[in-house]
Amino acid sequence: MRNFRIFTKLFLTHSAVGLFALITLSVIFYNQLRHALIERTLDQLSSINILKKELVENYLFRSQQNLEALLVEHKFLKIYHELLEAPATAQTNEDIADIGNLQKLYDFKNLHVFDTHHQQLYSTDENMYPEGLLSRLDSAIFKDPARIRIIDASTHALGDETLLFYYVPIIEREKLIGIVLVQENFQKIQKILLETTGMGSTGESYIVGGDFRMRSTSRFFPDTLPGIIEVRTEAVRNLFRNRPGRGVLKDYRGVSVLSAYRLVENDDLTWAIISEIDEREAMKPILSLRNYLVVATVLLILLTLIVTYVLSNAIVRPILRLKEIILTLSKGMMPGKGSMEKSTDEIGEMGMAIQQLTEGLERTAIFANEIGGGNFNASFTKLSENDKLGQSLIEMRDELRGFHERELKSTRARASALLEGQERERKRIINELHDGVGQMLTIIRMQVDLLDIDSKSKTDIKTQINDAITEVKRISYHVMPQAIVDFGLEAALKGLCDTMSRYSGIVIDFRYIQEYEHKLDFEISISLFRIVQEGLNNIAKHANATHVVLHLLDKEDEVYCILEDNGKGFSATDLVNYAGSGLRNIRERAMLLNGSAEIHSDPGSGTTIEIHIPKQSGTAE
Amino acid sequence: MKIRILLADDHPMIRAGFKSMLDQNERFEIVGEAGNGRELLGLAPEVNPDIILVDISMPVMSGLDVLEELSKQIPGVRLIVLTMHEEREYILQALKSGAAGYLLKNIERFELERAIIAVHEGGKYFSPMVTNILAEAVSKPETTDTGDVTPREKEVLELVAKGNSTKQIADLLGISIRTVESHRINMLKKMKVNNTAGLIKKAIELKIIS
Repeated sequence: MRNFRIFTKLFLTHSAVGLFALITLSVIFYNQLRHALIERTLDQLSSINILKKELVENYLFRSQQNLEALLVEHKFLKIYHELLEAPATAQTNEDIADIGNLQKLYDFKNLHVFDTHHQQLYSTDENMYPEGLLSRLDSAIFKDPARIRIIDASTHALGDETLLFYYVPIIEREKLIGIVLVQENFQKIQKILLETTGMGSTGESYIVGGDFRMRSTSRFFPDTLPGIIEVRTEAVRNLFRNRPGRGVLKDYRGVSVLSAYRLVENDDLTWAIISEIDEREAMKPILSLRNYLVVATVLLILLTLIVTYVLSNAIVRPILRLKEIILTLSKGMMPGKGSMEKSTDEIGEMGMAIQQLTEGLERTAIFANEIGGGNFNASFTKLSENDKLGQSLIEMRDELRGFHERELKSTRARASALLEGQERERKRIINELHDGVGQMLTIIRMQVDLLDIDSKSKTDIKTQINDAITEVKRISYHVMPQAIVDFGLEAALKGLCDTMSRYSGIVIDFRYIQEYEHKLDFEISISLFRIVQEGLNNIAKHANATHVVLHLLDKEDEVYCILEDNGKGFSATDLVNYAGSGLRNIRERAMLLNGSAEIHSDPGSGTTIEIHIPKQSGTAE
Repeated sequence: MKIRILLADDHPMIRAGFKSMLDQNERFEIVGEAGNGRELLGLAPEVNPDIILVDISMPVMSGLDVLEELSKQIPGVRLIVLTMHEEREYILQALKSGAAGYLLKNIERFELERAIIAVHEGGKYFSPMVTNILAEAVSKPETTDTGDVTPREKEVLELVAKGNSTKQIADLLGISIRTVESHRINMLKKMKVNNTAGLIKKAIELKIIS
């Protein structure tokens, strides 16, 4: 494809501009939208986070309140005393049985009763507390042993389960006499956290302990014990530096998430509660937007392609057309009259200019052709003031015309000088014949009379001499009639007709009309005489005619002559074969005087010769 | 009284021949000889001849050129052309210019004598051949086939009167130039005029055209 280059250029520029605009707008738009979306999602996460935090706090607070109430009732004190007094009957004792009831009522997982020496007095499940918990507890409660507190014992757990205990002191007379450890059923907290309404498929809230270990079960790893999962994320680090907040960051899985995080407000717990959603999910609306943008970009490129194709075609086609024209011109040919672009843009103007160029060249070519064809009267208007080619052609025409005219003149001059010389020579010959030989014969004839011979012989000799004189006259008349010199064309032709009629018996209707009084130019006279002589000779020799019309009309502008016979005529072939030379002489004579001779003939219908000889023929002297 | 004759011919031998021919008759006296027209004009008044025998073809001035002048110079002189030419134009021209006789040079002596005497007595004399030609000229007047002007001729005539050229008329009527010229020549013949102006004038007189 020859227009590939313009097409490519247009396509590239269009695409570049289009894409640049689209991408810039897209990026700005996308970022703005993303920012807004992140902010909104974070707001949402934040409120969920607060909600969860408060739910957890409330739950813990309520449990603590319940235990507080039991403490105020001295419920545990009673149980303690019962256990001390009758450990064996514990199973049947009503108060001891209450422990199980309490556990069930408040949905605690386990209940353990110890004395101050860490001696287990009662337990709903003996093993369900970690080793060393109590000794650690001692150091912790040293300051204020009378307060109920929450203990996160997960770090001490044998497994990686989350262990949460309430420490409930048994106080008698302001003295600590025993301890109740209530193991919280963490599933209930877990339930609060697992409530993921409005969190999509990747949103979760979870709790991280001060050891950077997960406390709640991960939504993503439901079968993994939380203590195994280490959460040393930016959120957690910030929180443990007491900087709650929100943002886009990496979670414990290393996945980019939107995160809102707070500390659980509890004197005994160092817990971070974190609500997160995968950035990928949060950004989903934006992702579809991004897809729209990609589709839009592709469509735009397609559109650009089409527009560019149409546009480049519209631009390139006239240019190619112009190129064709210029190529044609450069090969020296004339382009056809194709429909040029009629637009008014630069290409249209270029088309006009080229059309002008073509027309100018065409005009010049026609002019040159005319000159080449010998038409030196062809006129030409120069294409502009400085049209060098046109000027040269005009000069060439003028020079050729001059040359042609001189040539024509000299040809005519030579031919007519030749004819004139011939006529002059003829004049001289007839003089010699007529006046010389003729007169001599006359003299001889006279002298015969003086001879001393018989009269019969004299008469014989004189008759013979007369015949000789007649022959001389006949010959000299044919060479040139004296009459044309002395009396002009009409007289000469009249004599010619008389002679012709006398010898051949043909009736000649001779008519010579001079439209005005003057003496016809001798050159024309002698030529016309020769023409008629030739014509009449032809008629006498070939035509087998009985009547001849010879009319001459001597007008101011030309001499018109018509010579018509009623003979047998001839065909074009005969003209070439027989009558040729005589008729050719007639034509040549006429043409030498710038005149013309037309010969019409058909077998059986006679022959007509028409001759026009212009006056002021401009013949060379 | 002898008839005084002046002889003009450029050929001395011809002059000599005719002189010897005429000398044989006692009634004739050759009073002078001239070799050309100018000599003749110079000599003629001096010798005052009764008859001048003059050739046509002579150098300097031809016989025809001097005939009228001689008639004027010498009242009563009789002129006889003695020539080789037998074309009618020469004969007619000679007669127009005042020649009383026209003789061809191959004339017999007795005939010459008869001619000179006839002319001298006031008559005219022509060689038999010349008589033939003259008779032809008179008896064969220009053929005048008069007749009515045809409608086509009238059409041509009207266009001619309007100043159209032959070419224009041919184009207008869709006929050839030859036909137009034929019509024109025929009308010139019929009207017995010599040119277009005369033709139109005559045509208007005859109310052929208006």
